[in-house]
Amino acid sequence: MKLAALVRLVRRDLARARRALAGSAFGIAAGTATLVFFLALGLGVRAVLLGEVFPIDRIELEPPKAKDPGLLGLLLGGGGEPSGIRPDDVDALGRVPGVKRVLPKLSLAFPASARGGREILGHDVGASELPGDGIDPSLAAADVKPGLFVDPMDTPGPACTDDAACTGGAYCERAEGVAEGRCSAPVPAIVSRYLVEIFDKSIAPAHGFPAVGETLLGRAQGITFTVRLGESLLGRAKQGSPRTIKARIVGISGSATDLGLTFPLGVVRRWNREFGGERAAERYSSAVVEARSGAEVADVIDAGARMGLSPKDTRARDVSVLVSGVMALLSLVAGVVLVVSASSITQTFRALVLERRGEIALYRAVGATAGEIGAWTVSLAAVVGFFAGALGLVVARILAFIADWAAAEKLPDFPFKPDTFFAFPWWLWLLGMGFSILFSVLGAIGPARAAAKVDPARALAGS
Amino acid sequence: MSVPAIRTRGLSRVHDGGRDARRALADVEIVVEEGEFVCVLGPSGSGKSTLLAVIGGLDRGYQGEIELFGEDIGRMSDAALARLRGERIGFVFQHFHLLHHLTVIENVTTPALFDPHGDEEACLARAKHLLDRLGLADRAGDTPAELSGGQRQRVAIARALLRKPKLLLCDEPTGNLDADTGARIIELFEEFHREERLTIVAVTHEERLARAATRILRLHDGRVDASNEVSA
Ligand SMILES: Nc1ncnc2c1ncn2[C@@H]1O[C@H](COP(=O)(O)OP(=O)(O)O)[C@@H](O)[C@H]1O
Ligand SMILES: [Mg+2]
Repeated sequence: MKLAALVRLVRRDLARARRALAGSAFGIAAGTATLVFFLALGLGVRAVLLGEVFPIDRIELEPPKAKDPGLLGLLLGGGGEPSGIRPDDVDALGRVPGVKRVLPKLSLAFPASARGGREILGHDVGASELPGDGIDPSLAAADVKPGLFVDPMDTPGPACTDDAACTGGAYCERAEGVAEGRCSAPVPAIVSRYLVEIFDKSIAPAHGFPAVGETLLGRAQGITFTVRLGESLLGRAKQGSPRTIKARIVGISGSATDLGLTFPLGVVRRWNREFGGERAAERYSSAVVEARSGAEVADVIDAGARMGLSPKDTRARDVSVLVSGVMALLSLVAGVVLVVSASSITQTFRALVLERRGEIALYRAVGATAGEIGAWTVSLAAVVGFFAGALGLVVARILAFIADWAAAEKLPDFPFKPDTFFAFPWWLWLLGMGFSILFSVLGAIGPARAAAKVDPARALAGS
Repeated sequence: MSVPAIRTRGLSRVHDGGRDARRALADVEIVVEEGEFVCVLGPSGSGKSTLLAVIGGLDRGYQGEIELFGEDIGRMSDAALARLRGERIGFVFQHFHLLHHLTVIENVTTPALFDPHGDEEACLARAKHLLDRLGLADRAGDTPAELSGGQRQRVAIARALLRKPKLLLCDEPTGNLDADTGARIIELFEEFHREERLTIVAVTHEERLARAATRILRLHDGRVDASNEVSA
């Protein structure tokens, strides 16, 4: 059957069975309106909560924690290694609508410790456990003087076998077992403002140190530390042998990890390969995603969830989960309405098919296949679903306007009271339409099969 | 010699009506050559309607063999059989089976809805030509309710002939018409048979239709009485 013929048949049906079809479409429209209204409310409330009440426009996504290996796993020595984020996934996150930028992080995959700070503190202080991350240097470009936050091995110095061979504050970067290393300027590191604040407000007063916040950036040379790689108070790296390098703090940056030192990515990758193996060098340990606004963080959380990543800051996730839960519950109510209305479609179409047995038989006699009869019935239902869906969407939108208006008029002002409690993203319209058509068609499938099975000989035998 | 339009071998049809299964057709062997006008005469309940439904591929619950234009319809898929019906066979029923929500011209063009290769303009021209030929040119926009019985049957005939079938199957086509109107319909069959070499099989219990036929078969209790075969 040609499409034009199908359209003609359906148009004739809409004209003559208008009343019966409108009756059954009403239920579908009501179900669609309920569904879309509740989903829009949930999306709107979530956007308000994440965008204004908890203004988080950046979120750190992590791969799932290594599963608890269990007793058997412990005995066999398996499991343990976290999966990490693949570079592909980082790119994909960057393409999520509303994402401003993505900062993949490579954490130090081995123990490290540090001592230093004599230049501005008067004497050395130490960190027996040094957490550290590596980031793409370009991400700190705005906060650090050009050329400072780069991998020193991009421009390696002369060959060396120990630090004595290097001049001017440089050290010999040489992994254990390698015959000859190269002289390297101190590895640049950046710190977070948060860390500086903690140091100045809590640690410095307790120990009588001067505050470093202002002086840190002013000093051309920064603060130099010696960092012990592969060894800390708590243990040693699984592979490689511990060695000491020099590092220098070159700036304060919003891209730096909150606690610990942040190095250029290439440096951490090299060290991780040396002390943690190939996988530790390739897979990112987390990714900080900056959204254009807090409202879009919800989308980022959803996109991350599809890649198996979850937010490190659980507050955003909790809000998200709570609202999603309530939304799911309300959608369930709408689902029930839709199922009930699908059964009303079934009733209507069953009656329609029964009443049209003679007509169906005639069509079969003049050349219609059983499949064409079924397709005709299902198409009619789809068109009914389409109109019902359009009506439902309009009703949902109007109800949302009314609810917003009522809230503006009747509710007292409270913090973060939004202009609208609803969000109608483009896909919600499609979703509403899709469900409306889907449930209409589902309701009509039984009657369509009955229509296809009408026995033409018997139906034509009567008058 | 060319393939016959219809050939049946050992054709039987048992309606499973609960305890007393009824044998509506029993061992029917008939051959209808192309261009014949065959009238099947028999009393009510003798199996005439069953015979037409089975031959026309509307009723597939038969035993035996039916060949239409050399093809065994028992081996055809439901869809292929439907296509064959659309292309080669026209049906005319006692109760017309017009669609009352449609106009006359829409009724006549109904078969085109299920013609995958149809050309809308050609179909409309053909429908108008047929209505003209059947004396209904000025009734194209009317609904069946506004027509007399004879006019309705003529609309049904136009519908049956729309796609230029080779075989017309008629079940008591004059059964619902008065004598004069019925006579006019019978004349139309004769004309179409003569002018377009249309093969016609008409079943009836009325002798007057038989007079127009080139051959008469008599059906009794589902059996064709070969000795009674009469050529006109
Ligand atoms: N669908 C059916 N179910 C059961 N019996 C049927 C059915 N159709 C026809 N019959 C029986 O088959 C026989 C032949 O019927 P039919 O072909 O309609 O005869 P005719 O058209 O000659 O009056 C009759 O006895 C009738 O009762
Ligand atoms: Mg009959």
